[in-house]
Amino acid sequence: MFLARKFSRSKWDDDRNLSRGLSMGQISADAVTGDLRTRQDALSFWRCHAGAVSDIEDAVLAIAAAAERVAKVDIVWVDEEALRSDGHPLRDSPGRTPVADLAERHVDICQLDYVRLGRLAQKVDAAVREKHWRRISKARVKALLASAIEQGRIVPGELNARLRADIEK
Amino acid sequence: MPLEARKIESRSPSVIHGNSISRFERRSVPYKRMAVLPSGRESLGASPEQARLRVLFLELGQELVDVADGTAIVALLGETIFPAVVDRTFFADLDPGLALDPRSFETRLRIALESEPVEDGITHPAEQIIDDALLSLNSHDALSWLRGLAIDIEQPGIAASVLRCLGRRRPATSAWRARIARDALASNDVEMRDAAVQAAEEWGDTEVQDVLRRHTEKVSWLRDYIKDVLEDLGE
Repeated sequence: MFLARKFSRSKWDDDRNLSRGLSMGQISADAVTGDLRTRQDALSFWRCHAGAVSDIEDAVLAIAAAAERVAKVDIVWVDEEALRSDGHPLRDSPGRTPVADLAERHVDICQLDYVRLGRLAQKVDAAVREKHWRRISKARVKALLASAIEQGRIVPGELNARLRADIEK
Repeated sequence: MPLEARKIESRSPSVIHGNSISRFERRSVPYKRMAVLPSGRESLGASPEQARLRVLFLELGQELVDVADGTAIVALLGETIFPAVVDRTFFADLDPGLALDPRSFETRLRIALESEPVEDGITHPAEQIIDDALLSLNSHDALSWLRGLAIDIEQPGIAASVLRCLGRRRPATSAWRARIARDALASNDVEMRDAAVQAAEEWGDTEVQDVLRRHTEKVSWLRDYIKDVLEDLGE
């Protein structure tokens, strides 16, 4: 199994880092503080199977349905077992998403401290290098949301009003 | 009276309380800059929203008068529908909040962007600051400041964030948007170029699509994304 999370691809890019004076392979602090912002020492992830597109898109759907507007989503996934063996405590918790059948796929990596967060950043960086990431375009995100509504997986009234308007456009 | 269009003179505004300006007065001072206040100065100071709305309304009148240059029918319409146009600085005198100070604008924007990153799908406080700037009395200057920030290669992180916020708006004209996208894409910083593509995806203008088509991207994943965006926008 993998754990997937929204991130910003360009912040993890070697080309970007080199142009800003960092060395190849270094992880930008902006990437960590921007994409790995913890809440109560925890980071939110969505469980998915072996990187299958449909599974990844389910994680994207869970994230996009909780947003305020339709937008592209960059998503990265890291190996759950590798996280466990690295000593990261995982805690299943209901995800805050209007897609009811996906809520139980939510998991927190918890008890994060400075060192663990650094190790997690390295895992994310490695995942990006292994191409365990995808950018889902705005149009695709919109299609995923519309399809989920059509299938009854999302009750439109539970979506943010602006997001709903974007989908209906 | 001939209905020839005249250039607007820039002078201190005359203040007329209420809308009871007479036909004679209107005819005697066509297209001069005047302020028409509903019932007294204090009402504007008490209600910036009302003042802003009035400024927008009167700007529309100003536009109509500008267009009237050499067109008698439009001049007549302008004179009839918008009996007076206003010098925007007049309102700024009454309500300084409507005028934008470049330093304070940039500071507010910078603090907002540095406080939290711009996140996909989530409204950012900087959007409101940009909205305020675009609705301010010096909105034209604001466009210039925003452009400066959005293509500032010395501060690529801020530039990328401004670009992404601008992408959530439709500021100025399609030509302005295309120019900003082109200039940001010329940057050596991939985060700025990515933000420019994201803004272009949001704007979707034909001119912006042309900019994307002409751009040669060296980073493969961004090249793929540009291709996807062009395909999506072409549908």
